[in-house]
Amino acid sequence: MSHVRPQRMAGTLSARELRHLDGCPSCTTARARILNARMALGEAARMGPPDSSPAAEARAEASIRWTRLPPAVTVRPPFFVGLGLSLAAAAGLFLSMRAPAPHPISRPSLARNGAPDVRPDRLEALVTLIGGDVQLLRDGSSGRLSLDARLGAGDRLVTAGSGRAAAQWSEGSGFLLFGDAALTLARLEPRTQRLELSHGQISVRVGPHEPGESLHVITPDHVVSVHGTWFTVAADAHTTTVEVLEGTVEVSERDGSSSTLLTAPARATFGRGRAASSALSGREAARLRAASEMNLMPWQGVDAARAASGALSIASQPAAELAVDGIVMGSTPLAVRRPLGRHYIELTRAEFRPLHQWVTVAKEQGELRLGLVQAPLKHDAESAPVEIESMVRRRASQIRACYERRLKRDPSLAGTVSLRLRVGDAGQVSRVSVDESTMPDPMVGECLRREAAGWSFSVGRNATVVYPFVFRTQ
Amino acid sequence: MNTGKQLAVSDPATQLDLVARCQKGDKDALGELYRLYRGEVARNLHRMLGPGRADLDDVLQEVFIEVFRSIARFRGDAKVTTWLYRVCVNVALQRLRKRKRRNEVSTDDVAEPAPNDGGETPERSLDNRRRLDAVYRILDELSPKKRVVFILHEIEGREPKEIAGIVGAPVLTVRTRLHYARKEFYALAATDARLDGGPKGPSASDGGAT
Repeated sequence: MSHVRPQRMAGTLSARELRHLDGCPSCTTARARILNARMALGEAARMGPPDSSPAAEARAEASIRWTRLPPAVTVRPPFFVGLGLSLAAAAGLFLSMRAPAPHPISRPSLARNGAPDVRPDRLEALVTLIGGDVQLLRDGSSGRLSLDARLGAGDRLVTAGSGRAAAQWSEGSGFLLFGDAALTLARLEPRTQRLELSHGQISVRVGPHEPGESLHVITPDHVVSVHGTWFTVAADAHTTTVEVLEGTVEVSERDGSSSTLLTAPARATFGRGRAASSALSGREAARLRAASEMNLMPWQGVDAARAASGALSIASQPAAELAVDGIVMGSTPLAVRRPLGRHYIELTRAEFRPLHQWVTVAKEQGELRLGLVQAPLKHDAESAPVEIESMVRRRASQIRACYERRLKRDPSLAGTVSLRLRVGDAGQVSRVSVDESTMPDPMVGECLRREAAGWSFSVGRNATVVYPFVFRTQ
Repeated sequence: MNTGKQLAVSDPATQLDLVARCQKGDKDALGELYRLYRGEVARNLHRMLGPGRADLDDVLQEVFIEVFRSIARFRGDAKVTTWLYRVCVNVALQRLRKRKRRNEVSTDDVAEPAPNDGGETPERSLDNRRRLDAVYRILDELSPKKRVVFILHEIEGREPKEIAGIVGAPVLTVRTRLHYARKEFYALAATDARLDGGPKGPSASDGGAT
């Protein structure tokens, strides 16, 4: 095909070339392909910019807010230089050029940029998850944190080794504090959230920002500023480790001497004056995401969120890993806040039979105590889910497509669909129906039902299995 | 050839004034700069990286973070838009190199029409999409440097001299890259079965008439 000349191919052809094309099918095919490619290039030229999403706008807003403009070397000198360089002024200028760039954190005047100097309202956070022992220190006294508590600026949370606590203050924004950690909510205001992590690990998610809103996590030596993202920060007395799962964060020394921009997926460890970073593999990032879920809920203010949700305490004997609606919350005992209505809970522990059931979360606090049964080793009809699981893994893209197709119509679509499968003697799925569903769009269940109707397993089962599919956007 | 080059602000004095305000640390000016050029930068990245990229927002943000950080170094020796495109192209190049290193394939868009068992989408737009997708798959085969030059010329309709200013290379180098990029691109296109179909009937017979 080396004799293909694209410019000539696309342009006018001579009679000789036309004759050649007539007798050369491969040239004709090549020419048609090149013409198609040129047509596609023309289409690419007509492509408009993709629509801007509110999330992208919020990220841009955060970037603007937290961009540290370089020191004043390239900016025109301050006006007093023109008045004659007195010794004091010269010293002042020298200092202003030598000093590290003023850090956003150390600049309490940020709100002055375009905003009236009004004392902003305080923001309250709703506790959404408590596991183990978590202490709340407020106004000099301390007590156990409860799901009813509302957190505000000045509150300090201290978790014991096995403890964890999550809280939310706006749509899509919240944190999960892991065990053996101490966190102070230094500022919790609509425009500024500032979390001071003395030690331990925290995972933070930031939803769509209000214009001008910003969030920082401050460790003993570093400041982690958010450009719209999901990340974890771990700190001890000397180092800060940051893992970025989504978006971009900026990590600066507290004294403002240097800053690093990290774009997901990345992990970096910062010590005093040194840093090391590496990419996070997809598998690691997925594991971290799963481990740092913070039970965020639909949000229209703290009162509305409280009114639309209920608390559920779940304990099990022995302790097991709890997942609610497909979100792993941690090890029992746990207290979680979830929207009112039905939810699917799963308890898993190695060598024990997994336990799953639907629960109803109501206004009054519910309590659930469950006992796990040692898993029998023999292969019986009950273990059919194992085979189903491998089938689900194999057919993951088709299953996901059922959801994603409907997600285009409703971007907030999420829920759980349980399928009841009857597996016949020959291993084929003989009957399938939607057992329970919290999915608002019935077409997802219908699509899943059609998908599962075509499955067959290698071994005959003659059993009925209920298998839940949990769908939600990341 | 395309309207992409038309920018919201054509008055260079206004552009320079905006940049000067940004350099003084006026955050409102940064916001203005973003709103003014966001569409153009997004369109540019969209063309550079290909349609249906889930990471476009990330790249867009990276471009603007880079713009905000380096605006103090902008000395006004090039047009604001040229400088902006330079940043844009550099960020896109980094992303393309990263993608190449990881051997990433853009699967975002291709898989989509396949499960559409109903065939609701009009055939033509599906054809367009498939063609566009095939072209970007071919572009994935080119080295990032050649790809950028090819896109700036063949899709954006920019002249080699202007491209040289954007990519920071001599005009001759740009011409050489463009020559080899075209050669590689069309050789790959000629053997790419994904570009079959579409207006198949007309193209075979119609071609002769042109």
